[in-house]
This record gives sequence, structure tokens and C-alpha cells, in this order.
Amino acid sequence: MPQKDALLTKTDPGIPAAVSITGAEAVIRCLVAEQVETIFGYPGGAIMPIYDALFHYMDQVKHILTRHEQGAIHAAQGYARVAGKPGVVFATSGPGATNLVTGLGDAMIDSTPLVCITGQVASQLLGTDAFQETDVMNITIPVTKWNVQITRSEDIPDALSKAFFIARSGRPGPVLVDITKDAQFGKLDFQFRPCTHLRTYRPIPVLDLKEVEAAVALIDAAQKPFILAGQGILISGATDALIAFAEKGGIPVSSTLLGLSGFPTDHPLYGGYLGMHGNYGPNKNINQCDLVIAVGMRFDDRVTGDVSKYARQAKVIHIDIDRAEINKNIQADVAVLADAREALMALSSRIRAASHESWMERFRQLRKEEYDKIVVKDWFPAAGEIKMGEVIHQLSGLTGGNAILVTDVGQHQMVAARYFGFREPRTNITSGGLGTMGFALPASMGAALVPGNKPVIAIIGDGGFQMTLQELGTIFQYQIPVKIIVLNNNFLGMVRQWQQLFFESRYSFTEMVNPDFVQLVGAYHIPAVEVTDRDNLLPALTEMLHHEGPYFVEVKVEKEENVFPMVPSGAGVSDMILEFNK
Amino acid sequence: MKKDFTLEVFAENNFNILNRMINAFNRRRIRIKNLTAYEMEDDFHTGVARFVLYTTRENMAKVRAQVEKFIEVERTVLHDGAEAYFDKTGKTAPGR
Repeated sequence: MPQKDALLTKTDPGIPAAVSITGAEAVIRCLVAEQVETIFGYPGGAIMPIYDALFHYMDQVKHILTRHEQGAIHAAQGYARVAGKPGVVFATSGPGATNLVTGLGDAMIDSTPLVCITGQVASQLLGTDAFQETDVMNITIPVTKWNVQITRSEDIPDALSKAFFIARSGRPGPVLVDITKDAQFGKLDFQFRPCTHLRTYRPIPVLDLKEVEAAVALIDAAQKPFILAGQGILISGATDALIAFAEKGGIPVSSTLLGLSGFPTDHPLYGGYLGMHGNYGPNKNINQCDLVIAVGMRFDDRVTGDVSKYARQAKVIHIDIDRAEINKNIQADVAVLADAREALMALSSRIRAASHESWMERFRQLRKEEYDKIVVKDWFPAAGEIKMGEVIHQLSGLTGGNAILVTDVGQHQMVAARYFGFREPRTNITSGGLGTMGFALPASMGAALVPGNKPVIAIIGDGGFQMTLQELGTIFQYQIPVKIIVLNNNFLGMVRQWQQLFFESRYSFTEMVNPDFVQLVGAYHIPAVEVTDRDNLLPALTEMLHHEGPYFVEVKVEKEENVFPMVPSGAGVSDMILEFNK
Repeated sequence: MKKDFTLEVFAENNFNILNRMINAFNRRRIRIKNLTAYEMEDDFHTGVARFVLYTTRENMAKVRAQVEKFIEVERTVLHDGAEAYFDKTGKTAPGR
């Protein structure tokens, strides 16, 4: 059948409002109506009608065929985190759907908006153990903000508009829509109605001015206030509001891992990166401050360490859009339930202008101590193998922070978080809560497909790279201009570090014998170089940044390098150690 | 100290919402001592799930907030003890 005749009802601006089309075509038309530009997916039997409908809409929506469904969902996460709108994923039933679970879990804990559409066996086969049937609804309940199974084609438009509304509103999250094959084939009178309200769902709390006033009183009275900025700053677009608030109050700001890039790291009030492998100053000072102002963060255990030793001396103001985060880990003296931007603007207009110079000086002193004991050795080693820190430091200098950094999980992730100079919002993409190795390569593809002019640089360890390196095929096929840096120490470095520090150096199954990465990447016709000599590092990074398409740099780094400072697991943040005493 | 609580959850009667609630309790290893779930006679779109849960007050408050943020959940009502559960269903507690 000729392509044009196969789908007689393809969208036409002059088409009547309600028209009889298949459920499969309704899916695509809903995505067009939601202004979806890019879909990441992998076809299979149960989603074939949707893929067939998509074939006729290729002029309106782009589809990226990844090499694995996990690659598709991580790519959609990277896309969503940079674009600030839901990433869209297609997968088939059974293994296609179950391969999404890690990405869903990652997106759920990191508040990433996704709409995942999975095909399902025909409704009469549900529960019969049919070929590629799995109970995707029950499997994905714990890792979705909402999920729904559609068995009637006429339910598709409303379910999808609801899915997009839920995914992007309030605290964003992943949503899964499972559509049976008969619903994809069935006809409906299509009409798209955007969803803007649900009776039982209140995504944006109404700002309580009494709580704002209570917060203002604490802020005005504080001598050593301290702002902890989380990803809520980025989600609500509150960077300018945070800067204005911090500057008026003269308050130091530190970022969580996911909050990085929400506040410029070169700002005089920037106090450093929080957490287990964060900067020395903020971790020590959290137990010296008299007021914690936590904004859009959830007091993750990697930030707090032992909560019984965390900021016990301080009052706590917790600003968050999610009521369930209030008092979950740290008890708040004042809870401001609100969108971060709205709350910060309300506070800024009410607090007294102030400065806390001696308090800021304490941050500067600790920063200098950290610099002298750790940073200078990481950035400017006199001899020996290349260190991860000098790679990130050189990269930061070369880009001037004008890049989107996508990191995987492990030592390189912590080093990148510590040493890259983030200047603009949404330039730090990483797997924070779930800690998903294999995240960075596919996520960087999605990040690079968002229109923009910043280079996208993936920093990955040799372990994580090999978890999803099949996506090199996707990068090659679509010529996605990702710059890939693998910091290769032939170890699962962070686990090895812990084995050294806490398991008497018993390196149980953490050493890796790796293939020739340059040849491997070369097989995908992606330019690739290996750097083993310090003198070649800067030229290789410079060449990488000047290259227009995808590019790969493998840097052989010190095999048993440790990331310091660190808060030992279960210890209080003030017990942070600067160096390892053998 | 752990004790009995009765949590009533009023929600849209969609597939999976009951599983979501049970998962929230299971995830925190909160014991479900009794459960009744039904749809409203005059409106099958709305359902009620009434749980008797055995946990600490602190855990109860935290898991309640998590249940309340499920999309379909309209509101919850919390009672100390299990009496509300048995009074409203007309049942008697085993061993009482």
C-alpha cells in the first residue's frame, strides 16, 4: 500500500475537530499536540501499530532508535533535564517494558518528568502469560508518579494529556501509559483536550504567608545562616530568585549534587558542594551555622550523613513543593510548602538586607585548607599518572563552564561535581538518588538533542561506560555531537576506594580488564584518542571541543586514586576526613 | 513505640491505587493488621480503603504524607487505635 494511503486521516490543519482515527494514530497526534519534538524508543510486537502511525508523522516528530530500552529512557532523562519538559519513551511489552524499570526508578528519585508509552498484549490476553506479556503496571508502581493501562482506544487522548500534566507539574516525575494492542488498533473520534486540572491532585501548594513571616523572623535574627540549594531551584527556574535572596541576606549558598548549576560556582557567596564527597567548608559549617535554609532539597542521606549529628544546633527552614519531604529526614522549625521560586521571591521582598562577613570568612578559610591539602595535588600533580581532578579542572578552564556536563556514577562523578565550574542552570546532568551506572552515555545523547549551543560532554568511568556502550551505535547513526571522556583506571574505583578504606584493601572483584576502547569506538566510526601522557591531555581536550561531531577521549588515570574529602558511611558530616592515614 | 492506627483513604477507584497504598506500607515494613476496601454505593468512581496499621506515630505521619500525594487520593483520615475501623465496619476484633 502506498505510504500516503496507509493512514488516511493524517493530521491536516484543516481537519475537523473530531475525526475517526485509530488509537495508535491518536497516540501520535496527542504527542504532536503536546509539542513533543523527540521520542526515544525501541519497537516490538505489541507497539507496532503505534510505530506504524509514527511512520506517517516523521515530518512532525523525530524518533531516535536507541540500542536498548534502558538507553532510550536515560536519553529521555537527559533530554528532560536539559529542556525542562517531559522526555518521551516508546517501548514494547514484556522485556521492552521491564528494561525501562531502572530509568523509571532513576527518574522517580531524581524528579525527572517522563512520559513512557509501552505497548501491551491485546486486552483479552491480559493475565494469560501470553508472549511478551508482563504485569508492567504492578512492576512499575513503586517507580512511577502515576501509571495507567489503556484497553479502549477512546480513552487514549485523555489518558495521555493527563500523563503529560502529571509528569511535568508540581514535583515532576515519570509516568507510564500502557496501551493494549487492541486499543491501538481500535477507532475513536479523536479530540485532544489539554489537561490542566485534576480533582484529587494539587501539584502547587498555596503559599502560606504566615510561614513566610515565620521564616523571615528566623532569617533576620540569624548570625550564621546557610542556604542549601537543591534541584528544586532548577525545576522551578529559581536561579535568579536564589541569587537575589542570597545577595540581599548576605547568606552563603551550597548546592546538593543535583542542585549544582542552580547557583553559579564563581559567585562570592557560593559555599561549595554538599555531601559525602563534597567540599570541606559546607560540610563542616553545617554544624556551625545557626540557621539552615533548605530550598528544593530533601536531606538525602548522602548530604546529611548521620542525622543525629546533623545541624543539631541550628533552626531549620525547609522550603519544598512536596509535603512528604517535610520532616521526612530532618525536622523543620518552619516549613514553607511552595514552589521554590515563589517562596524565594516572597522571602526576598521581606527580609532585611544584611551581610555576614565573618561567617563567610569561615567558608573561605576552610576552602583554603581544602585547597592546600587536596585540591592543589589534584589539579597540579608534580609527577605520576594523570589524576581525574586535573582532567576536570582543565576541561572547566577550556569551556569556561559553557558546557553541559553529563556524568555517570562513581569517583569521576564526585570529582566532576567538585571541580567543574558550573555557571548556568541545567548544565549538570547526573544520576543522583539512584546512582545508576550506565546513565551518562545515553543521557548525554538526549541532552545533546535539545536545541542549544552548548557542547555536551559525558564524563564516564570505565565500568559505567561498559554498561550502556551499545548506545555508541545510536550516536553514530544520528551523528549526535556528544563529547565522551572515559576516565579509565581499570577499576570500579569508588568501590575499590571503600574496600581500601573500610575492608582492609581486599579488592573483591573490582579490578577490570578492559578492551581497547579506542578501537572499539573506532568501529562505530567515531574519532577516538587515548591519552596516557600528561602533556597530551590539554591538546586532546582542545581537539575534542573543536571537533563538530561526536568525539571520544580515553584518559588513563591513576589506578588507585582516592576521592577526598569524604564523610565515612554512617558518620556525621563534621567527621569529614581530608586525607587517608594509612 | 509502635501501636495501632486506623487510616482511612478516600480515592478515585482506579486500578492500582490500592496496590500503591499497600506498597507504601510494605516499603516501610509497616504491618497491615486489617484492611477493608470498597467502592462507594452511590459513586463507583470513588473508593475507600481502611487500614489498621501497626507502627510508630512518626512513621505513621511520614507514610500518610506519602499516601496523600498519590494522584488519585482525595484525602485521608487518621485515628489512633483500631476502634474506628471496627466501629465503622461493624466487625469485632479477633480476641476482643
